[in-house]
Amino acid sequence: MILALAQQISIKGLIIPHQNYVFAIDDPQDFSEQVLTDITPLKILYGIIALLIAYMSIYVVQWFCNWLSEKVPRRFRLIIKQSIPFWKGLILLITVSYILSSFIQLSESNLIAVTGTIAVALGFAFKDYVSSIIAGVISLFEAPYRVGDRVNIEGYYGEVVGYGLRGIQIQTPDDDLITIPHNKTWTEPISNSNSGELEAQVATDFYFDHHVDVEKVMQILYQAAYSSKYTQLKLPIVVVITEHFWGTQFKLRSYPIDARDEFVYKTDLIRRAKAAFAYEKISYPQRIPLGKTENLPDL
Amino acid sequence: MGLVWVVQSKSISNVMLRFLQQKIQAWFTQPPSTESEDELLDIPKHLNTALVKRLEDSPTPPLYQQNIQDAIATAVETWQNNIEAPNHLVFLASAVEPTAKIINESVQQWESPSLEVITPLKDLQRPLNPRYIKKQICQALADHSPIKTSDFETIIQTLPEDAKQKRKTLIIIPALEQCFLRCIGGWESIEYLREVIVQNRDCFWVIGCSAWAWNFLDFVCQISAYFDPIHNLPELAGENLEKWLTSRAENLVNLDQPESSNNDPRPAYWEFIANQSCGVSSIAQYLWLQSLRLKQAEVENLDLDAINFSPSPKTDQRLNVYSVKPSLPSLPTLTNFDRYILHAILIHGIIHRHHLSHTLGESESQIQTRIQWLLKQEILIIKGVNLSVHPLFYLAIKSDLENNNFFIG
Repeated sequence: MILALAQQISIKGLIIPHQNYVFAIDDPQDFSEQVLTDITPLKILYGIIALLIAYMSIYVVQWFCNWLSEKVPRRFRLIIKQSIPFWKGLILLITVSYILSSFIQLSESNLIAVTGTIAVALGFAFKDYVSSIIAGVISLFEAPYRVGDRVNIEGYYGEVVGYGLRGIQIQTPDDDLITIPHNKTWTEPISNSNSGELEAQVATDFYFDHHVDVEKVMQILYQAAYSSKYTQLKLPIVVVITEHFWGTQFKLRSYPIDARDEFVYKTDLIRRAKAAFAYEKISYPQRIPLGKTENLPDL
Repeated sequence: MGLVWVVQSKSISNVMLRFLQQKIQAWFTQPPSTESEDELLDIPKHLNTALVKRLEDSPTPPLYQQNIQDAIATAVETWQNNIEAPNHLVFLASAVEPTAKIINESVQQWESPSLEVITPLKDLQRPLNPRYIKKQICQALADHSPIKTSDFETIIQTLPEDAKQKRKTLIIIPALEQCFLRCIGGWESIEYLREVIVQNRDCFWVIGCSAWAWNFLDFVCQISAYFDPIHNLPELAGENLEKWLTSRAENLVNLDQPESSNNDPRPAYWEFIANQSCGVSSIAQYLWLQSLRLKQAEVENLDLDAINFSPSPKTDQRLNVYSVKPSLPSLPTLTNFDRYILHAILIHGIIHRHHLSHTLGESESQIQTRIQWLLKQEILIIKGVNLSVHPLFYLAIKSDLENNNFFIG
């Protein structure tokens, strides 16, 4: 009974009424005659050439945009990088349209029938792949990440250097290239540090003894950030304090001029601040001997 | 994302528009000399250097001086008559302008018998350890130190008329950018100076500063909140530049004269220099010097190496110079590290290598290679023991730094 019901549903579901005719997908002969055009060797050759041109164009566009983005001033870098998915999408759209128009009679009913058939076929065979492609298209509009952004997905942190059909490529600070499928956007949290901007916040931690002169430390940390050559002074600089049982933590939040300088910036801040702390003889957290609880601060 | 695209595209189009505008103007501007460029020779380097030196030693543009004198006269009068009026005036200039020289000359030329003029920080040089800048300034301003708590009662009891009577001192700080260094503790001197000026209302303070240094100080110690009347030096027009530069050069060289008063390309030429230099005197001066040539036919029998400029050569002993169309040099490709160096130099105006390495947080040996390269490209010039940016590259560097997300002046 279930089989009979399924057959009924599938036949009903794929019977597409049209003005003058009705065709059913369970008759492959009729389907190919009504949907496909005359396929000749020349058409096949053209199709292959179109695919090759598309592949070459995508490669050239990606190479050119990446090359250009590194040559132009910083403020134009991201805008050029972010245009890569658009150009790639455009090339793919033109190629797919050309191939479809060459091989398929693109009437309204045919289009529905073909997309339905492809959806059913791909739904079973390439579920994850299709899911990634759809997620990639949606990500273009929702923009959880863009080329040039610094993201953290499933513990992998780095700059998005490639935006493909199936996934993105991230270059980590250790210079590893990691490919992450777009469909991770459905389920995984995505942390984006700069969201299309040149600057990304850098948080630098410093730890001191409980008896430290808080005002002095804060003054030094602010001045370390203000005096660093990497700091974007147009953006806010903040110092926040957290108390721990073993000492006082100061977190300096500031922005480098270019998010790419994140780690050298952090190093510069620490170097400057440590020199000033040494000059001012500011004490770091001290080891408390076990059993000497009288040395512990009252929290 | 769309908005970012629009804003960025607008910036790109503005840059391109400005570039196109300058190019079109360059195409349509005729050089004043009728001689073809094949007949002309570059001025030998030693003569050019001598000419630069002589021009740098001569007075600054009269328009600057007049503008500064007028602003000071008005502000001082208000300050003397109104007890609550501001006791300071800030003049901002481009980072390549000799701000100290301009302010000092302007005040020297200004006749005001009622005021005593003091310049306590006239020859201020940053000490080797930047933490001592504040100490140096404290010593120089010892007579004008911030008011002690015990003096408050006396101040409160002072009658407004008595306070007005005391207002007879003008203190000049000609180059504020020399009073700090971008490092930890490096601008405590400015904070001290800020307090002194705000509290010491019996003196009128005239402060000269580069716009780059001012913007930096505004970020780090909100200096604009304390000093309200801020004047930017005016942009020099072609006419001002012509009067200023030709009057300085006429006693050194003979400038070529137009054959007839009709179709004289000279005003357009000076206007072109004014536009290319954005009205900044030091850029205009170098741009003009760069356009000067000697006529091959006139100097082929002369030993150019033996020629030097005597203090005031007679008219018949002077070299005839001819002008071609000037052009600003293009900037070679810079690395990010070059940009950090140039940005630091522009913030401080002129700076010693030791201080430059300190502000960049790098050792001197690490910055030396790039400094040598920048000197070789003539982007940097040496002034005594200090480094500064060559005025001819200033606008290109400013534009490059702005496009690379640096703050500018």
